[in-house]
Amino acid sequence: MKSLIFLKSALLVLIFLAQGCSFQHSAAVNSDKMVRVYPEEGHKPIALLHTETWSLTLFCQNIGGASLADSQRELVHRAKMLGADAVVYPKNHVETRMPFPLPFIIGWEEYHVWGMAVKK
Amino acid sequence: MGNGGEKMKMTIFKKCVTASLAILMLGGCSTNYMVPVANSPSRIEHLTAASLKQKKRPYEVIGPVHCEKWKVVMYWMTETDMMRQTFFDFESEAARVQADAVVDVTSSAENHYQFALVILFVPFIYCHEETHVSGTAIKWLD
Repeated sequence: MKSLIFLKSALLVLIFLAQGCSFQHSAAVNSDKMVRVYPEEGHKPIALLHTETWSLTLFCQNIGGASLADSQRELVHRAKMLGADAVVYPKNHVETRMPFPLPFIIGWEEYHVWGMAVKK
Repeated sequence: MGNGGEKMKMTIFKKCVTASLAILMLGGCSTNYMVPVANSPSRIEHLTAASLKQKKRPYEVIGPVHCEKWKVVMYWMTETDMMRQTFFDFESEAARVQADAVVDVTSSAENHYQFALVILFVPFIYCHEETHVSGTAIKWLD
């Protein structure tokens, strides 16, 4: 009986997955203009910065509170602590992880943001 | 006797599965994805850091934008169009944060074969595919 329920659940998950799903993330938090695309004249690199925040997900819903915006804020904070004037060449990547035994039920999300801290 | 026979069959089956997996992996495989960005129908402009610098136009970084798409696929039916769909979703998200352009857009595609499924079932039948597109949204100041 239990195995039948498991098989039916697995089939439902597979049907759901076969339809595909899409996740979008964005963070409009560059209020202090620290992040720029390219360095200005005289800028010298001082550190390669990478920040990541992780969050627990339940049925694909973020319940941990971390976000791409948090990573971005942390990146800027770290750059300021180093005395940087700007963070240039910004890049980002988000990973949604759903371990096999409980696909789509419990997982986690990783928000990665990185760039080069520069100073004049 | 019956149980012994079943066990033998299972062992042979597992060996066959492992051998076929090894042969497939030795053979290697290739999948190609391409999304032309030059004539994108959206109003979002695509730039590299160098081309943005050449423009000498004042801009402001809005923030990072990322889009990912997941789908379960049979290996030989890998959807090369998935990257294009992800790219459209990415542009929609950039438009949502009122970006005029996206800079240094990068993409990645991953095929994941769960180890347990590979061992228990026939390898290369089931996998989930992920396509990622990320970039930095900017807006013009002039």
